[in-house]
Amino acid sequence: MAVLSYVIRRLGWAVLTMFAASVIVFAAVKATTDPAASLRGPGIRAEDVQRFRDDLGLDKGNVEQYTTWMGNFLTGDLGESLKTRRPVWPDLRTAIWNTVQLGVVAFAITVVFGVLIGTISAVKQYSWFDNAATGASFIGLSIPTFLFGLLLQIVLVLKFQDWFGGTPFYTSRMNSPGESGFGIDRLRHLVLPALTVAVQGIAVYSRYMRASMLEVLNSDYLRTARAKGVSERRVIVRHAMRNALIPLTTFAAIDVGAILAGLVVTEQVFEWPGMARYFLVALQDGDYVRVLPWLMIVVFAVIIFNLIADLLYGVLDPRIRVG
Amino acid sequence: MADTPAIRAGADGGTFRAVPPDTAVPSELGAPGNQNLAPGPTTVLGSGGPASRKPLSPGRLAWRRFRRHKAAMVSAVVLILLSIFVMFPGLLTDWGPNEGTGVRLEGPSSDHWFGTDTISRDMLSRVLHGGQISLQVGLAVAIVAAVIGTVVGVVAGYYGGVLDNLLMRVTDLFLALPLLIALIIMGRLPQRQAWAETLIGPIGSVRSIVTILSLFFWMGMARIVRGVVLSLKEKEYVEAARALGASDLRIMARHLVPNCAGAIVVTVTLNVAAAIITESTLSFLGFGVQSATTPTWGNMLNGVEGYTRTAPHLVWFPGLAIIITVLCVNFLGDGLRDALDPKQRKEA
Repeated sequence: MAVLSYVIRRLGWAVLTMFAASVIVFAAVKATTDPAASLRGPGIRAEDVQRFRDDLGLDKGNVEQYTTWMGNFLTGDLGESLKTRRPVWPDLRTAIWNTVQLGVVAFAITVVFGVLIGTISAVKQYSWFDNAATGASFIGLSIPTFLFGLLLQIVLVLKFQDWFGGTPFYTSRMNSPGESGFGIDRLRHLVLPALTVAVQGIAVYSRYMRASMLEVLNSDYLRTARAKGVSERRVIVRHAMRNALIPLTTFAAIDVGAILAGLVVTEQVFEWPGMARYFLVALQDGDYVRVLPWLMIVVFAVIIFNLIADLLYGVLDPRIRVG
Repeated sequence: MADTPAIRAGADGGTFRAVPPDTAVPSELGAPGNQNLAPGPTTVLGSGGPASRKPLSPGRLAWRRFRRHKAAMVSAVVLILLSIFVMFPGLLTDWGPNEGTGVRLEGPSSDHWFGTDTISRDMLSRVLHGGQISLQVGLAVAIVAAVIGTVVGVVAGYYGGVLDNLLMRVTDLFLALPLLIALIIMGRLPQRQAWAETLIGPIGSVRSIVTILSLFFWMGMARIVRGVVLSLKEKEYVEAARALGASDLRIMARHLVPNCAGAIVVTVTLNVAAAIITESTLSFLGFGVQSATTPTWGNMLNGVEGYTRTAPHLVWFPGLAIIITVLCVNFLGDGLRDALDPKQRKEA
């Protein structure tokens, strides 16, 4: 019963946060964009501007503008771009899908390497591997993501070409001209940006996993398992890793904001036609019709992942299940 | 949100993510066996005994611990040298940062050690002048954020109750915002809002970037200071001060904040690194300090994606400047943590 009320309370809190966040986002975008900017210039009459403002309802009260916009957004009507006059949703959907491809691959790389490195570091604490991993993560955290992407381009692609006369990787866009779809060509475009997004995550997750693993390795139940004669491999994988992963799981769910920032920067470096580029272009255009739904979707996603993190924590670790 | 892992100051801004507690360098890399160094108390307490040594001041003890962290010592030297060259670019180059040299996109040569950029400016001069802005922004953001964070943390920790709850919820809210996107949006405020322009300066100015970054860098400090204050406020000496009739303000300013100094200095240092990373990222994306006349390490990299093949020196030099600086500042922070705040290092 306590669990159910916790879930309901947490859900209510998330909805409330979403509402507050949507108001803040709406106000912030209204304050920073100029919808009539595209109309500025010679030969534009004041009446035209006024008609434009009336069409968009820009002179109505703030509350009314918000409720109108939110109503349309929730019913799936995102309107059409002020700049390009194209409907917003199809373009935005493509951008989201492209970003999800990159994000999922990057996240998988992050988790696999983070967990692996962290586990080995903990099991072989203070070995050369552990020290190298610690040093590497310290350096990794000191390199801005965008710079890492640029350096990867220089080192892995251009030097590679010099040395071997060819390169398996591409540095920009999702497909070579004439190619499309998710095949070998896409993968060759995907590797470097995914690695770029992943590198800081690997640095952080491996540290996290190491700390969490060390805690578990010193616990009584592990000694019991060993005393029962369970093989060392099984002790590490089944008994230790499973429990050590709990804090990492919740951390990963909270971490979407950081992954998002990594994606924004990386898409710019590798000209990946995803959400970040959509957003940056829309913002440069001052096109609130494109900026607003983008921001709402991102903010809602962050809040939902936070909610998932909290709920997961309770599910995975019965000790935390509090009323 | 109450159960989220501890968010570490310093790294949270620059990497846009929370960092686990032991991301510090292992003692093998930096300070071998610094934990074994017996700190003062026994010596000081035993000063009446027969074999008493002269007690070491806290400052000397801290220096001794810092000196053992080799990476931090080296970093300090590198940073001092770097600051000198950045402050006096004339020591290394005669070119001005915005002066055309007549040769475009030339690789490093004896005339231009770092080569020239797309519109023929000397890269060495720009890296040095850009360093002035990048380092200034890093320091300014860390210091302003430290003031905000310390005030929030000490008030929340000292008064507790509803005020504490309120302040910590606000802190959580700021931590939950996607930092980079919030900064991009906020940075455009002066463009459309006259009040914002008077308050924080025109869009793309150094002042506006420092102000906006500071608004998103204080949360780690607030949490850390609050934590220290919570553990200090029940101590006898605070009790004594109160009994003597000291006001709340005096207790906070004279008794609590000074005792957080170690943690504050460490956090400020790590925040400098994080702020440099964040500024460079923003400027790289074209939303930071505007590049027309004011180079920064970040905006020098704005638009270089297309040149990685033909002119990689455009990436290498500002890039290495960022990496070396951030790495050294982080090592310095790590050494300072050993020296000033040994309790914060978890015994691994």
